[in-house]
Amino acid sequence: MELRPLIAIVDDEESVRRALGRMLAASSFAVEIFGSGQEFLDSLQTRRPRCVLLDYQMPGLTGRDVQRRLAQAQIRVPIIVMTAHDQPALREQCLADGAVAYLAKPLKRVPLVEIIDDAIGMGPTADPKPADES
Amino acid sequence: VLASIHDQIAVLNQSGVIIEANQSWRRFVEHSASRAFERASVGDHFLNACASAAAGGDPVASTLLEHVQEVLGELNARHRLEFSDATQHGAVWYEICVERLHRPEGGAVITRTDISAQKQAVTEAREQKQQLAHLSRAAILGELSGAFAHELAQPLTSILGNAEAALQLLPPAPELAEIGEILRDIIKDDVRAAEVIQRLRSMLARGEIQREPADLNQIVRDVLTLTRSDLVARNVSVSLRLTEALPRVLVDPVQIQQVLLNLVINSCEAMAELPVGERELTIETRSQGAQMECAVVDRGPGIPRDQLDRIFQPFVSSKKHGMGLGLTICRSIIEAHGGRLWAEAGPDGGAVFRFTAPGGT
Repeated sequence: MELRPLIAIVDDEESVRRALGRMLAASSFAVEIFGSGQEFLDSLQTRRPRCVLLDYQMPGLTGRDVQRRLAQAQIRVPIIVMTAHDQPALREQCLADGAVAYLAKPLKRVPLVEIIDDAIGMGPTADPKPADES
Repeated sequence: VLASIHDQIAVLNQSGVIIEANQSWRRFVEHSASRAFERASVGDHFLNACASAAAGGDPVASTLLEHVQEVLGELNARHRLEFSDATQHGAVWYEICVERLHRPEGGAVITRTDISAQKQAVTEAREQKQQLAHLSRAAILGELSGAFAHELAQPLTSILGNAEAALQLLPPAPELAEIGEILRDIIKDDVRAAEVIQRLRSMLARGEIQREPADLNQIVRDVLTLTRSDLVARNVSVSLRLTEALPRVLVDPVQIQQVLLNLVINSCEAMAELPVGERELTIETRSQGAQMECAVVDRGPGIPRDQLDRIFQPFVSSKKHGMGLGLTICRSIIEAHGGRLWAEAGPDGGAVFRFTAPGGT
C-alpha cells in the first residue's frame, strides 16, 4: 500500500539523480529514479508516477523529446523540467509544451516540494494508480 | 610635367631658394598653408622660412630645416617626414620628402603629399582587427561560460540535494545540532556558488539570444566590410551571389555575424597555399522554404569526406595555433537559433560551409 505519492526523477548523471531522490524521499515522497528518458518511458507500462522531475540536457532522448512522446501518447503526467543550462528561450518552449514548471539547477528543497505538491494537486492523474487516459 | 602632378613639388637651388614650384604647391600656398614655412613659394628662401618658423617653435619646421640642410650638403640623398595638421575637417596628414636634385649645380626637390587617406586606411584596419578579435573572444567566452555553468550546475545539484536530504533525515537531538548547522552552511554556500556562476554567465554571455528580423544579405555585407582589410592582405577576392529580396531571418544579427566572420576567415586560411590569382571566396544566399540559407565556398584543398562532421567537434583543429573551438561555437550559435550548420565538398574541390536560419518578420 503506497500512501506517499510517487515521483519519477530522470537525469543522466547518477550522483544527481541519487541526491535528488534522497531529497524527495526525505520529504515524504516515494521516488523512482531513471538514468535516461527511454528507461522512464518504458517504466510507464507498469506504473505511472504522479509527477516527473525531468532533466532537459540528456544524451539520447532529451527532456523535450520525452515531453513530446508523453504528449503523443496522451499520457498526462505533470512534468517539471530541470536544466543545468538555463536559457529564457528554453523556459518558454518547455512551458509552452505543457510543463508545469521549469527550474534551473541546483534545486532547493523549498520551493521544489511546494511545486510538486501543486503539480500533484492540479494533475489530472490524481489517482495514484495508473490511470486510463483514453 | 610638374604642373600635372597632384603632389606639391618645389625645386630648391643649392642655397635653398625655391626656383620652381608646380601648380599644386602654389595653390597650397595660397589656400591651405597653415604653418609659416608652408607659405614659401617661388623666389622665397625656403631654408630661411624654415629657420624662422623653427625659431617660432614649430618642431616640424626645425626637423625639415635639418633635412634640407643635410640633403643640400650632400650628407643625405633623401629624407622623409610625416606630420599632421588639425583642420576643421579633422586631422590632415602630410609626408614631406626632400631629395637631392641631380644637377651639377646642386639643389633639392621637395615633395609634399597628402597621406590622410593612407593613414585613415591603416587606422581603420587596426580598428577592424580589434573588433574582430573582440568578437571572437566574446563568442568563445560566452560559449565557455555556458559550458562551465552546465558542468558546475550538475555537481552543485547533487551537493545541494544530499545536504537537503541529510538535513531532513537528521533526528532532532541536541547533540546533532552542530551537524544541522553544517548542513545548513553547505546548503547556503551551494546556493551562493550557483548565484556566482549565474552572474558570471550573464556578464560573459549575452545570455539569451536577442532575436530580431534581419536581412541576411546585409549581414553578409557587414561582415565583408569588417574583413575587407584582412581579405586584401590575404589576396582573396570575393564574389557574392546574393538572392535579392530575400525574406528576413529572425536572429541575433551580431551572433550570426560572428559565425559568418569565422567561416570567412577559415575559408581564407584554407586558401593560403593557393597561387594569389586563385584565392576566390564565394558567398551565396538563398531561400529554402521557411529557412534562409547562406553558403561560404572556398577553393582550398577541401575537407576529407570522413572529416566533414568531425571538424565541428571541440578541440579538433587543422590550424597550428587553433584551439579547435571556432566551428564548435559556430554550430552551437546556429543551432541555438533553430538553424543548421554543416560542411560539404565543393563542386570544384574546395569546401562549402552552409548554414540556415529561420525566416520570420
